[in-house]
Amino acid sequence: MEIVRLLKFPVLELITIAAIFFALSSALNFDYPSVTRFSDELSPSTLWQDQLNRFMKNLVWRHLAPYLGSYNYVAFIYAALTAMIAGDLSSGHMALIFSQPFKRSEIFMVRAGLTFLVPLVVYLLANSAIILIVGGLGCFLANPGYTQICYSLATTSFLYVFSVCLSLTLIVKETIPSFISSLMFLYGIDYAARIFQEKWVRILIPNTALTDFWFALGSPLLEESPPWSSLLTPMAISIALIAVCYLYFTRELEV
Amino acid sequence: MNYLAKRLGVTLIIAGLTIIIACISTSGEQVRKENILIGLNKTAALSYYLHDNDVEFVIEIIPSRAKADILLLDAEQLKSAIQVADLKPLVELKNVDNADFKLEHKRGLYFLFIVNRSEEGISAYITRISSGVQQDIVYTGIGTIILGLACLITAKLVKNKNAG
Repeated sequence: MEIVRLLKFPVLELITIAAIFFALSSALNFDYPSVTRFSDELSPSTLWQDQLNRFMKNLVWRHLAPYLGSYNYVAFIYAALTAMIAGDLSSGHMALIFSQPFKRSEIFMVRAGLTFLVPLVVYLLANSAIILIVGGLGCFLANPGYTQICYSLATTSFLYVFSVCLSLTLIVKETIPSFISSLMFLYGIDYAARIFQEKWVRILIPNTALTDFWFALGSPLLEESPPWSSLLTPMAISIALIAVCYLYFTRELEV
Repeated sequence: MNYLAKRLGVTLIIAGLTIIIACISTSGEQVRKENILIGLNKTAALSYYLHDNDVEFVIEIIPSRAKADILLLDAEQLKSAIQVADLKPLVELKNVDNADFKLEHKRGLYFLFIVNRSEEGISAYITRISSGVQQDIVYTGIGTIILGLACLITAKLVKNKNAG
């Protein structure tokens, strides 16, 4: 029943529209960067393989892990969905759920899990469908390892944004203030983080760490494994925030 | 079940409409220009991803007395040319100093080869103009709307059956 409540009209529709529009706008303007080669650099067979491989990687990178392009979408959707949790807290609906024979941990798992997974699944489905239309199944099969890395980046960036929004929601506990504070914080930190250029500082800030990882993935020079250390900070901060939210929700929260 | 079918129908119709609107909003003319230098006895190979809309190539070879061969192949044609040495290009122009051609093509990866046939190095100015609605995406949008309508009709029929 919780999923029906969470995705009541027009929440699911708005998430879907936004995901499809962002994915399609990017795909319809997709211009594969033309690489000029000369006869003494490559034989035709290596040209074909090389270009096809680069094209497929580029398409997957742009659509499955477009961290920069999708940040506004992700921030807005999670701010709105977690604000609904704040709405339930302020309206007394959460107190009603707590009076039912469910453990608080179960309620948290279901509510937080659904809120995190629904936008992620819709986003990945929309973008995967676009990749299938534009590049075909070969894009996934040609570089399965690379595709998995792009999926990991998308999941990590969604988890980071979700954890920040959930934390602010449990602090603020009111619908509109929760929505506005989430957006202000996420946009604010994104803009503020851009001034840092030192590598060690950028790795410590989730937004810049994710951006650097995204650029590293898209680089044609990337032949070996990507800089996984860039994902450590966002993962650690997300897990820590969600753990704190869990403990607060199950032990301290008064409704 | 009835509720799910109804929601799925509405979501699919809205998704289909979004697809068509996104297609229309990106259907304007886009012009991309490139300039490449090709040395003596060299062949330049360029790759493009072409969408399912109208695409026109305008290629100018500088200096004007220079000559070049221009070939455009899709991925399958290039593969076939490599494997069975059977060259059937989409566009083949020999010893020209300029070219202007429109393509009737499918969505996909294309390879443009410019072979320098002059006694000196040449420049090739390549202008690629794409415009129009991408038909395959529009068909996908229409298909999604039809699927959504089918879900809504199913939901209505199930509701009537249960009421009856």
